[in-house]
Amino acid sequence: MDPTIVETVHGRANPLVDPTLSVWGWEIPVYLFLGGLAAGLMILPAALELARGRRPDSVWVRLGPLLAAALLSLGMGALFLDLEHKLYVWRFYLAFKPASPMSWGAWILVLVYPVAFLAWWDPAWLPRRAVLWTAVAAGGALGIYTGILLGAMAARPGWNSAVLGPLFLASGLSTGAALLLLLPLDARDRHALVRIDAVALVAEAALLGVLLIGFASGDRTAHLAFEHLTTRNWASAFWSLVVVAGISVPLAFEALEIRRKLAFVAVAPVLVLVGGLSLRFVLVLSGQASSFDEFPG
Amino acid sequence: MTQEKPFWNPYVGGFVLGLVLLGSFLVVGNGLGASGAANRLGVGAAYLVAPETVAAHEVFGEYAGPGKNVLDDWLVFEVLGVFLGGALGAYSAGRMRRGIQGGPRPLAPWKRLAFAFAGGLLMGVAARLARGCTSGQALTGGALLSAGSWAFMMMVFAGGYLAAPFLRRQWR
Repeated sequence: MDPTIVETVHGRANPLVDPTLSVWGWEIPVYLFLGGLAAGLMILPAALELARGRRPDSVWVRLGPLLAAALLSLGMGALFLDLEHKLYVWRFYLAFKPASPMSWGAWILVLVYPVAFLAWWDPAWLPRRAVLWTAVAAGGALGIYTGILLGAMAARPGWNSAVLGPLFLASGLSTGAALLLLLPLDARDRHALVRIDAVALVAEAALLGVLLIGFASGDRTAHLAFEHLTTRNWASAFWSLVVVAGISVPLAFEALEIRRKLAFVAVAPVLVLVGGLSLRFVLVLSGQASSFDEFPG
Repeated sequence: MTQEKPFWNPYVGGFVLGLVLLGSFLVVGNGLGASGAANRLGVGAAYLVAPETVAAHEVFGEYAGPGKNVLDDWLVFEVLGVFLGGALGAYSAGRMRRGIQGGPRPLAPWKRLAFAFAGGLLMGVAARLARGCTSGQALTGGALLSAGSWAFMMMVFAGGYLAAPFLRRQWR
């Protein structure tokens, strides 16, 4: 018999059988960050007005919904750059698919603009509380959807968690408050936003903890996601930029400001914004790095 | 205006710094350093301007080049933490404000900055020649009982005492 070795390749060893999913660059994390920021800027002015029964004193807080629309437009610009077939973007709006987070997102994005405009404009012919509650709901949907968009992608263990929705909403509230804190504000609004930011940071830390516990106590794929975040390539950015610089240090600054009545400094809001952007980058890129390819077929 | 809190006793500060070094070994498996981060930033800046020359360089090529991230190093993150910790410490002590610190003799801001830059440059070159600065050599190497690090520390003190007579009147 001819001793020639016949090599066959089958199953997942064939090239391209496992889909290539490391396809997202800077555009998606930037979009998710700006989307979260816009969600915070939709919710916070409306929530302050609902709590106090009158419009916020600071001009910039009142302009929050318009800022949200502007930042969301920037984010959608980044999203548009990521599209493979840019001319087909209008097809998102020919259908609504309830099972698709991307379809929900496309329609939520369209809903945000008129609601943001009405929340800022305050027309006399619309019941104000209804407008404000709609702004809170639209902002909440926007903030949660950005996390569900990743969480619905089960093929990437690093995104396979229902916690991403509330986590991104908490981060969106925190970054929204941080952006407002960098603008000239009335003292009462500033104090309120520092407290809201501190609470949102605690919620974000708790949700991040739940995400890690979920990964650590899950199956092999979840363990892989846990490793990618905490000990592999993205660990240094995760621990330093997200956990320490993005959450712990600004929370310490805000706790000192609240408890000891120290003067406000811009360090905490700047760090919160850096942390929010880093959170999106780390989760998107480490999620893309975590693949079923790492398990033998 | 919040009352400034007094500085810590330097001996207590030194002891706590030793504990920080111990914690650093335990948590991340590395000692402390500072000039290494500045070195990487410098190499990274050079790589932006002349990537091929830097990548082909015998020493700098170890840090930067295709497939390498010049900032992906423990010291870079550690120095970021030093900035954040310093900022938090200053804020908690009620002493965070903009300004240019100097000795007791007032100097024009540009002179103070020029001297600081010149001193930093000298320190940076010397740290590269000595393969480490006071953090990497004296603290980390000293804790590991490295003979070279102890020699470095002795020479730092000797150099300080030798230079002091010429410079100390600036601090009176």
